[in-house]
Amino acid sequence: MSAAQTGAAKARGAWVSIGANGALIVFKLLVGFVTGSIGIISEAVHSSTDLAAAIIALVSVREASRPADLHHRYGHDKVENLSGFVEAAIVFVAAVAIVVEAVRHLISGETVDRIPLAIAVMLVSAAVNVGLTVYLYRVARRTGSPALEADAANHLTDIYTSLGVVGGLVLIEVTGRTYFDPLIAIAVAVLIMWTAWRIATRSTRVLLDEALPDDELAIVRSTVAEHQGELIIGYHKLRSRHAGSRHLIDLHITVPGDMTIKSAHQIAEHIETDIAERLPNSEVLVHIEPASHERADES
Amino acid sequence: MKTPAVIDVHDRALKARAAWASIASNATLIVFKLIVGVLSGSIGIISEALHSGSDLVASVIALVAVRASAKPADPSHRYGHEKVENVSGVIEGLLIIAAAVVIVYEAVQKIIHGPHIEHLELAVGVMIVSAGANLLVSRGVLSPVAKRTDSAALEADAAHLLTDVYTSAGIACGLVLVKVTGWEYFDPILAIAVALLIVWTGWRLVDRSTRVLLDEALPDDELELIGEKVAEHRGELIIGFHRLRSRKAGSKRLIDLHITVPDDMTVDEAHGVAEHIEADIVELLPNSEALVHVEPRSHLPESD
Repeated sequence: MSAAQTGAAKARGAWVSIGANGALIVFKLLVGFVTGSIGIISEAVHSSTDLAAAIIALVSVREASRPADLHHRYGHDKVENLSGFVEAAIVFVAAVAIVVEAVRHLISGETVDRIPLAIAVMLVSAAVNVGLTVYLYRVARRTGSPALEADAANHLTDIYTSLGVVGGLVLIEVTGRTYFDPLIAIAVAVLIMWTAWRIATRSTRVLLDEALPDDELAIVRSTVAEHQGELIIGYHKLRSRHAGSRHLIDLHITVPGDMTIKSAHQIAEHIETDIAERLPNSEVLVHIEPASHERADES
Repeated sequence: MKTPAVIDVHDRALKARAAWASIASNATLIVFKLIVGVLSGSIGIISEALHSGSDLVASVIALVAVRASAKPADPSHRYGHEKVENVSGVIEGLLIIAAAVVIVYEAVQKIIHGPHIEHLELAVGVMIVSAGANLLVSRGVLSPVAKRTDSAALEADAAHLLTDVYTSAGIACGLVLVKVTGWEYFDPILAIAVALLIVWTGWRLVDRSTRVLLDEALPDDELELIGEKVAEHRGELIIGFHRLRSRKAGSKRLIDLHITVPDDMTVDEAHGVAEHIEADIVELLPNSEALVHVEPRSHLPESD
């Protein structure tokens, strides 16, 4: 997939998320107003925070695909990781709101109205979110997009919420005890907070320039090592980091000190293209060192 | 590659000490507010202690960030840990915004239900003590150290404490106005005004920290310095340079560039030139790390 195709695929994914959330809002509002159920109308409010999150994902995949400019010489890809952080914050706030609401219900002992209808709305919502989550995870994996991955995780938490609410309502119908609704809501909220934490740490790692995962590093190492003894004497100081779906790598190679720069640069370019071929979407910077130069700075 | 002048041990201790000063001052304020609150039975002053509690959390975050960022590069963080300071800047910014939201929420509640103010003189006194302590730590300790060590985490904590000075001063003014005019609504109205002011501070912190997290280039004046320095060698050691890229991580500057040299120059010579330029840059800008990629003249730059 070319960069432009990847960008288009990501944007399409984000638009699908916006469309699905928009449709859910309209659906919940319609049912809510026709039946006069406050609970279902407040569910529409919940879907609108999802809509906001989906819009953030769209903005960030668009920003991220802009080419490097004077002020961002390493590209804009990290916008996607930042949006992951923001999505995590939104998901976390949503979980806190659920807990506050649930505790209020527990204290006031409010009764739940129109249970069968609420269950039906929740099931529709859960079904839409299952489809959306599966779709978004697939696009995220194919394009390596952290923003869409975070959006997918966000919708995964919506499935938990909807099913949790349905479970609570069913228990109320069966047992007649209304406190099941808020209790299950709190359990779901805890689960959601955990997901938020996972999205946040994953995006923070990239923002902190964590190295590539071991399997990807192994690919880079074996690619470079293939040339050892033949084109290069050795390599060291291999550094790597992510930016959105891109891999940024730099390393030092050692060659004979009397080699001309013309030949040494050809070797460097050869290694750069080799790595970029084996590990798609990588950008490599090679620093050439003469064999006579002690590898004192290897760390 | 030349080992850069990383933050020296002295700076590291200085930064940690400043963060500890902030923790100590916030902890003292909490105890002070709790004692006055419980003795006088004022709910308002006790809830002020809660506010200082969130400040304590922020200053602990600053300490953790300062410590973590000082750790040397390791296999899973080959570019170092400095960006932890920038992440802590984002978190401090978000905490300030959250505090502002809570202030507005409470003020609106007061306006709706009608304000009720008790222990007015005492509350004004506590606010003045709190503002004084925060002002001292923010401007006297954190800001100077943050400036000297270029520490994003301490700068954020200094900004955070300064927003508390605004808040305390705003509330004290509101209470004095209530006392003078007898109109109790001055209290919530001033609280909302202060909240709007500190939202702006919070947003600025988030913006500044995210720029670094997004690998924004160094400021133009620093880039110009580097460009001039490298250009000095043009015609003599190098034919030219291009693709100068730069970013920051905490106080560390990371720079890489391509230089062009004659095709038949040996790797030995070229590496000497590259090291020379790297050392020049590191000398020019403290706490920087440079990586030079050497290119033969026949290879035309594909982009710059």
